Amino acid sequence: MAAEATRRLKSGARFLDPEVLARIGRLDLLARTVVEGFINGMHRSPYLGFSMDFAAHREYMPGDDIRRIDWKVFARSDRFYVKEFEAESNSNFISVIDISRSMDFGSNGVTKFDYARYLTACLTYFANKQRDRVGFASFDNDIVDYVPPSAKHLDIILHIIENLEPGGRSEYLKPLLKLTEAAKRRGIVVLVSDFYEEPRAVIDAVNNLRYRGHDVIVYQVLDRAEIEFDFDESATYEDLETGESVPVVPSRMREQYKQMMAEHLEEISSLMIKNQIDYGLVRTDEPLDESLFRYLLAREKLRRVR
Amino acid sequence: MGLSFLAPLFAVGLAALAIPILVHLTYRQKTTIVRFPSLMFVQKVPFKSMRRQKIRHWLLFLLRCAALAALVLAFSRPFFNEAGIAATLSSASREVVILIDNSHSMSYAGRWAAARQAARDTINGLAPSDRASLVFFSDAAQLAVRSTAQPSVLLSTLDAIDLSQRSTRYAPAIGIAQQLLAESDLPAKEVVLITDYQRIGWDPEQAVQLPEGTILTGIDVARDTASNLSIATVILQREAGPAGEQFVVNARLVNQGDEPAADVEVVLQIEGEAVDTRTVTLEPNSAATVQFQPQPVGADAVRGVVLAGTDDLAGDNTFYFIINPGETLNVLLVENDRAHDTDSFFIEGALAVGTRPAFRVRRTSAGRLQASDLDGIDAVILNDTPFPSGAAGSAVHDFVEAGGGALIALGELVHPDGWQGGDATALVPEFSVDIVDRNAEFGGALASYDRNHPVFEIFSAPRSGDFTAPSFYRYWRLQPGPDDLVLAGFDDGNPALIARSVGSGRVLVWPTTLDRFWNDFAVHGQVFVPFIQRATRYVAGYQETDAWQTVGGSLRLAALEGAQFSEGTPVELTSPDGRTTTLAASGVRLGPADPAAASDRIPLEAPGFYALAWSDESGDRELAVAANLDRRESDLSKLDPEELAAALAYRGGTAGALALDHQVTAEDREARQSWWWYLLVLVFVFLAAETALSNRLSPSSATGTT
Repeated sequence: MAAEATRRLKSGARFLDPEVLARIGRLDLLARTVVEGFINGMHRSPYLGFSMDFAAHREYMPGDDIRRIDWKVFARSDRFYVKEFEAESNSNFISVIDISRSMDFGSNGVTKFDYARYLTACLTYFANKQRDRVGFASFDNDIVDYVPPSAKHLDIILHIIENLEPGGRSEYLKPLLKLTEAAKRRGIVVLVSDFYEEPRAVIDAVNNLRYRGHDVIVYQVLDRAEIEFDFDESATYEDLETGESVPVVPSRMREQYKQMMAEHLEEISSLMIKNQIDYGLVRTDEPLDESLFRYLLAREKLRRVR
Repeated sequence: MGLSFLAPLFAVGLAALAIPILVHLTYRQKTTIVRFPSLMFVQKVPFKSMRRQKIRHWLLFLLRCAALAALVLAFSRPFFNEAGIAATLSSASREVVILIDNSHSMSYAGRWAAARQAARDTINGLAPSDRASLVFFSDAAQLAVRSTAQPSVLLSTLDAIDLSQRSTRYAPAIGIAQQLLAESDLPAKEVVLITDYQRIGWDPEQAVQLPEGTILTGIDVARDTASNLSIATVILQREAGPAGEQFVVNARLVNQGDEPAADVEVVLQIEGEAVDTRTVTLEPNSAATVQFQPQPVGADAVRGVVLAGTDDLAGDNTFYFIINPGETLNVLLVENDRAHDTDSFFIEGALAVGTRPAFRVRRTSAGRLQASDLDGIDAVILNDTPFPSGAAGSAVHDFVEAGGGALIALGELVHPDGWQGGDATALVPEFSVDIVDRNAEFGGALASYDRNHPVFEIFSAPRSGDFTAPSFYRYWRLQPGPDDLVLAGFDDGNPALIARSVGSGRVLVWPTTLDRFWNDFAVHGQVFVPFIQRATRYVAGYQETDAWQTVGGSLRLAALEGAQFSEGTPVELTSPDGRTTTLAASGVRLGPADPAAASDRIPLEAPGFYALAWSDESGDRELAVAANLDRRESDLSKLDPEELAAALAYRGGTAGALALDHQVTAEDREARQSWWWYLLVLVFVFLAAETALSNRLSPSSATGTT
């Protein structure tokens, strides 16, 4: 369904590539451009079920969610009415972005760090538009920034995202545990990282959020070159986080590298599915609307489940 | 084997062998630097693939390495375990335990045939003095043949056993092997594990290990890369439709494989007829949800099946479920004699919108209550009223004690005197005239509640209701008894909801009103309505009938709505394969001719529909239950055989005496053998050869690299 919807979107509204977006100076403008364009595209697409703020009453019928009954109307009229399109408000939305050094890599003009910033800004803008309370956290081996969820924090968050700098080495357990402690009220947590860590360690860390009751949506952001390893020249490769370096002849190790990377991605993906975490791998050369659509599908699914 | 070391830590010195290799392979790097996000995978690639230099003068290099290795080994004081050697050399008799995985995943692409053949080969390879046992396992283990020297018995049993429909668990089988080997007096012990090494079958927390000296031989019958399309689950949503209540079926499909699953036809069958078909394409290692057209909820239970494509593991391409019609609970609402018509307005409103179950509410007052009013009632709500006096009060008490339920709200129209003493004492905890008044603080709040309790579990999801919003101005200070459960509390620490058991029945006590007089809880419909419904369901002992069960489990008859059989009623049980068995029923127990063997459970061994049919005074009755394969079995990802072997390896005894005995024996053995002397001699031989060779080579290879 997601693939079909994405195809339809591609044939209709087309959104700007990350490389082009990088030329827009202001992040708030970028987020607005992408999200508004995305929503316009949605309105032209057959997926109109994601309406955000239309509300109306209709008479209650057996099978309706009893929590949608307008109890105040019942108290006045002794009749049951249901808010048919309740605005999806009052949910906490926290975007969490990995700002470790490994994110500061890009082979196509846009680094993973930039892409993660754009994605986070757009999702935050989007969530705010859906009247969710928006929060934000950045981390490397610890929480670096934390903005608690609030309906009024959009500007602060966009400002912080705009001024983010890549930090140190990445770690998942400690910062996500801290975040779990800080974000006590359950909501939606979107985690953006490249996940250079053993998959089980990642899942253990992410599960802390799940066990607290959060609905977790995970984006793994990678550059094409990290997946394809299509370097030609033999060189000394230096780890962005640790500073370690090793001599590498890419042609000799490409296949093994790609296989290991594929296995790593597969393990992360299957562990996420197994733990009922919405997971998506995004490449920095993919337009942002695909990621937004993935979020919207996950969000819609969560709404249905509740 | 029996090789051991007295000082194994010296073996660390072998790491020194890496130094010349590393120096050789890493020197003269290019100056071009590529900053890469992580060397996590680059460093895992075997070092040789990055090598730029070739080792020359291999003989010299090996001589030096051998000298170094022999020196380290000598210091490690090696010795041979004589018992082990003797056992090996004399081809001692073996106790072999053959563990064969017959879980559902073994039906994948010829794995079961391969497993059987591997077992046959193992049995045919047994020596005449060997003994072997045969264990089949899925989520449970079955000892099919206990330690025998007759291969014919093993082979005939092997042919007789077939695949099960259950999931995989290694621990029970290992446990049986452990026991069989521990009981054996044969000198050599071996376990042959024939399996597809499904990862879900191994829980690293399981504390199982094989006895010391056991050889574990793993036979992997899943060498191919497995892919599987499965229906992970089906989500059934009930909703209002134009013609009454309807249900929507959402099927969650998972494609675990490297190839996309293109144009998969997903079919919804209701009562055996295809009513809707969808086509979906799944990318590799992805999931998708398919939603079907809404279907009406009928007056009778409906059997549904979702079918999705076909593949080598066909069992999980089908999902069975039952849609039951709505059920009704009879509720008696007892009010204060002085109550106004509107005092129970919100309670009645909340119960009026219940659909599954529906609530049929009858209202009376404490003064008019008679014992006969309780006939056919599932739950009583005593709303802000003194406990009924005389025979009516005793009837309420007896009703609860016999398995009925009571929800008791204590508000402004009650007094402790009306609830202390007599039958009422058993129902309500003590409370005094000391009312907690929070008006000065503009009301207190509900600060905590047990989200795991059936009353509150509906509020465990995000955005499912905010209990902190209602304000509570006045409430009674309840003093819970030692057996009472406090399910919710106010922010000043006083109990807000207490559960207690009385005989077979359940009571919930709420120390404030359920209208707008002492709190505004009743106007917070988002939490009030589900709370009232859940609390009433709970005290009535209502259990929702599951839409499906899992194969490997069992069906508890008492959990089935309407499964009450009179003594001796013949009940026909039809299993998914169409076989019908007639059972004699007693109460909620069914069994064969011997009543002692009767059970209140029916084991579920195959996916599909199990049907119970019987007759009673209301005519012919039928109940159906859907059973599905355990969906964990659909995950064919593999466990590393070495990981399993390492986890099962003997890790030493737990008693200190055992460890001490082992240490003394080891020293004795090492002292007797003194292998280190021979190794030192070898070191000198190697060094002498190295000196001779390097002297010979040095004039012509001044810049040689080793």
